[in-house]
Amino acid sequence: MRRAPGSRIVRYGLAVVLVGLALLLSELVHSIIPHSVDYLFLAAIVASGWLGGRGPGLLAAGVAPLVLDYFFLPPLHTLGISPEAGPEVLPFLLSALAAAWVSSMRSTARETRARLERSEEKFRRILTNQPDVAWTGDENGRMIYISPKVADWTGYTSQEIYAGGSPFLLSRVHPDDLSRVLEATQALFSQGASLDEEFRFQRKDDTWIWLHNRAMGPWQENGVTIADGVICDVSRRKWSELELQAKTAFLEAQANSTIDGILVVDAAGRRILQNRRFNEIFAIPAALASGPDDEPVLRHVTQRTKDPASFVNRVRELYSHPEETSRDEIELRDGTILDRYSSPVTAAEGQYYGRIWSFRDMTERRHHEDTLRQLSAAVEQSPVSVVIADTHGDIRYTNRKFTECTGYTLEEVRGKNPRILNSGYSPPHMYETLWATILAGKEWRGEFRNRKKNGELYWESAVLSPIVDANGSITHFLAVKEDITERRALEGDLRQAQKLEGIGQLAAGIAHEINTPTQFVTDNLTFLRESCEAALGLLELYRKAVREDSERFSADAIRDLTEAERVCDLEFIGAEVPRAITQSLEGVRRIAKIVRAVKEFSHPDLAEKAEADLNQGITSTITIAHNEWKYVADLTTDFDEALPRVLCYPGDVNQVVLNLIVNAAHAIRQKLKGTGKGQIVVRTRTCGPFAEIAVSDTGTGIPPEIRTRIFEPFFTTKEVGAGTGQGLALAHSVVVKKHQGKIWCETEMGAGTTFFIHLPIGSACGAEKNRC
Amino acid sequence: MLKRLLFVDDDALVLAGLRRALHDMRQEWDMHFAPGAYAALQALEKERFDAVITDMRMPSMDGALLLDCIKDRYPQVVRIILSGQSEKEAVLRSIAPAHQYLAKPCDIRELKLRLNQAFASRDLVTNPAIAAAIARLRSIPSLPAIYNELTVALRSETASLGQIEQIIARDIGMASKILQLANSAFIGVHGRVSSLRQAVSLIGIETVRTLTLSIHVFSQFDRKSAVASSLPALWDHSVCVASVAQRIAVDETGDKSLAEECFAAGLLHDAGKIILLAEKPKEYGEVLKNAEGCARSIEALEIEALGCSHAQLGAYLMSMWGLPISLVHAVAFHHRPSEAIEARFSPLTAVHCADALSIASGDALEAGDIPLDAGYLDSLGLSEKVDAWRSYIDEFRLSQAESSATACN
Repeated sequence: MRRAPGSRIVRYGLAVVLVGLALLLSELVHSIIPHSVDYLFLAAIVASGWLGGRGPGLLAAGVAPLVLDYFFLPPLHTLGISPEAGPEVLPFLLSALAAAWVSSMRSTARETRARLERSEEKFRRILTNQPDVAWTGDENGRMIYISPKVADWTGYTSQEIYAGGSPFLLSRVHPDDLSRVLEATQALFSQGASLDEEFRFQRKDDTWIWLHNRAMGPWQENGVTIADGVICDVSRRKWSELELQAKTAFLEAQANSTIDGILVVDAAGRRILQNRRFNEIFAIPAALASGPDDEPVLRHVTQRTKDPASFVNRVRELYSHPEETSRDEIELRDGTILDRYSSPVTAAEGQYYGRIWSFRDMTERRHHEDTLRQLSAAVEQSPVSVVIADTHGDIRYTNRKFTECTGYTLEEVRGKNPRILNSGYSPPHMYETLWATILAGKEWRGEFRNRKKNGELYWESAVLSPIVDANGSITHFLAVKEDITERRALEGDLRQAQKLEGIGQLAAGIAHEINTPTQFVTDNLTFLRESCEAALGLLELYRKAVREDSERFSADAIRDLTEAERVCDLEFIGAEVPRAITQSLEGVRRIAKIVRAVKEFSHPDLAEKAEADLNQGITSTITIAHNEWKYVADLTTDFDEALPRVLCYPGDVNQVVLNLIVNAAHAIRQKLKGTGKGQIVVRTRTCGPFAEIAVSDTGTGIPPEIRTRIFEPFFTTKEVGAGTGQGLALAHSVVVKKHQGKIWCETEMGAGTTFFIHLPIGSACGAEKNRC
Repeated sequence: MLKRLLFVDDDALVLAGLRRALHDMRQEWDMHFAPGAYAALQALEKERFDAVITDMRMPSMDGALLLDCIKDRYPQVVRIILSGQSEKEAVLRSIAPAHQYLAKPCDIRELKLRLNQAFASRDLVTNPAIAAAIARLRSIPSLPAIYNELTVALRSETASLGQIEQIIARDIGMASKILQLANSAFIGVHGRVSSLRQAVSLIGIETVRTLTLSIHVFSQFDRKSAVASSLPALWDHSVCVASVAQRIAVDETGDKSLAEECFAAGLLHDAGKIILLAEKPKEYGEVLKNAEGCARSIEALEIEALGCSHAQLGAYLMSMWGLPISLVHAVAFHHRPSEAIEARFSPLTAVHCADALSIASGDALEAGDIPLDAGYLDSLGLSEKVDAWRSYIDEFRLSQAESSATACN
């Protein structure tokens, strides 16, 4: 029961009111009941003391006589006491005081009880409301008191616990913790050692909680040894502690299982943790590693480095700049290369806890990197083109040679399909085979005719193969390619040369076969011509004789002769036989000339430079090529008869001239398409230190867009099969490379083309100088 | 006296054709025809022949082999190959035993010309022993030093045509043989070759190498020969005459090819002496000894002792080898140009002048004074040039001395 504030005033007020009431009542009943006044006032005093306690009682006792005195003068008269009878007032006063005292006694006792109750209530509230459970128990574990809060935790009410008897709570302690708890409890009661134990406790619902029990004791109460304690639920803390332990274990395990050497230092730079790897890397002796001192460890580590000074400086610098992160590379004396990484450990609020150092052994990786770099340099600078494409066939990498060869940079072709190089000359089925082969994981080899960025065609020999990963699945395709245009051109040259040589050998063989009959046919014809001349002359003499001396012969004979002459047409014979012989001789001469021309053209015997009569060589060549031009053009020559002999490879030069004549004939045929004949003119002249050969035609001319490309190998405008595209390339190679000469053309569309060749005249002595 | 000719060919039609075509020569030539090498040898056994014209490729014994036999047994016979073959190897093999090589089809007139030329100079040499010796001669021996130089140069990979030509141009033996080859039909050149430079270039370095190192067409003097010591002087003289003759020709005509012809003629002009020194060292040595201090010309002495002069001898060989007629003339008449029927500037003119001037200025090995043929020079209007030409001799000697000094250094 709480007193309201201001209750003191109420209580004293009550006393005044009671006295007042007593006054009023006494006024009312005064006339009816004499002497009631005193009793009423006494009653008021007693009531005040009773209700208000000692203070109001005394107040009432003090006030009442004064009031009486005032209203009922003499108030004591009412009691039959006259004012003179002063001594009579004293008993009233005393009785009033006594009444007030006695009545207030009751009030005080009640108040004390209330106060006690209030105190008890307060403690009860504290015990009930505070999170911990207070208890008092005896040495057997029986609970004498336990806060009702215990029900919240354990599910058991105090009453259940009380009823459960001494072993109740202990029976719910986890068996693993029980002995420990019992021991501690025993120590508490027997030795007075304060108890402080944490243990697992099984709740009523069979779940486990962690309890922390602290107790003091023992002492005696009512002959029983007891102890007081407080139990609190520390499950949350305990579980997080365990979790932390597990986490820490994991972290430590992680630190130890990483390949990096890790060192953790606190804000002052003291070692907190270092993993095994760290010890391994720096070869820190076990004693040193587990030792408490930092300094020897640092010294050891420092000595292992190649450049201790800078190592230490860096460490110092970082310790003085806690916020900084650093990454660098250090080298140890044994050649080990370490990647050193250091970062601060800070809380979310930015508080600096320390620093983590990690050291990764980069030696092998660096070695791999070096190897890789060397290999990639080798690939990059390889003399062959290297292309790597992904499984879609899109280009991922090309090396420098590729750019050199095709004109495309890596940036231009990355992500593109290699078909950008496709010239359309390689048959589609080749690509089908190619893909089938490499998708089957095999290597494909072949030759492409591709197109460069500038449109130029080139030949390349390629080896394509898949790149597989560890699982054997294809990740990329690799192409290694080589530009073989020149080689093919050389092969072409070689084939041409071999062809020429073959022609030359054949010509030599045929020449012998033809020359022998030519010899006797010529001889016979010569003989016939002379004999015929002589015989015809003789015949004429006979005829003359017969004519002049006709009378000597019989008429029959003359008639027979005339008839025979008519039948055989002697006149015709006389005119035509010598002509026939002469023409036959001419024919044989022509055969001999062709045979000689073939032999001279191919010059199988001359593998070296020799002084040659260009005019003669060209004449032979024209003879050889006769069939090429005779139906489409008339060929005229305009030779410089004073042209000096030229030091050259006569067979090659003849071949060049042949190619030019054949080209000229083709150009004319293309223009005229079988209607009429064009003109081919072959000229020679001396031009300073050069001999010039010019072959002009009245053909189509060369379109401007291909003029720069006509000397490229395999470049041809002729339909497939008509030309190899080698003719002018060969001419260029022979004139420029073999003879250090020049070849060019002047051309006009529709009017014709003239090819010019300049060959250095040189000489045996000149050649000497050139070689030196 | 009829010249007796033997034609050999396994193809009867060829023989028949030749017989018919040469029918008009029956007044000068007595022609016989053999269908093979053995038949030819049988015919040669029975009768004397002046010339054999044989095919190259024949069964069992080919033309080269046949001519080889003939060379040994009947050296005075003119040996000519008429072949349709053009394979180089076979041609080269036939080079040595044959005097000349003609290719089928050969114009009958060319054949007549060649034969007549060979016969004409053959008459110059009346001494049968010498004639035989010359006809047997495969080549004029070279000076050993120069021969060595050539083989060394040819064995080196870097030898150039110019280098080879320069070596050959210093040796009478090699120069004459090279000219013979160049004038053989197998080279495929129409017209005669009289320039050494052209000859070397036409033949080519490879062929020269084969000829020198494998076929051994060149020969060299025996170093132990009694006359060996006198040879270098003769060579020097020949080179001097060649160079000066060339210079004279350049001066006179400006024609480069004529000048080269003059060089060749000058180089070869004393070829006869070399042949005599090689073949008849004893006899010719005596002739030379007698010539010293003798008033008579060396030619007269040679004819007296041997029946022919060195000039005639040289010319004989040159013509048998089919060298251009201008060279043969220059060699034949270099002492007596007036006897030649030419009345214009020719290699003979240049060689005669160069030779006479060289001797006058003291060249060795030429006994007696060979006078300049003043009448001849007058007829060509060149008399006044002689003084200028004389200085060429000295200039040549000077340049030779300089270059040898350089070589020594």
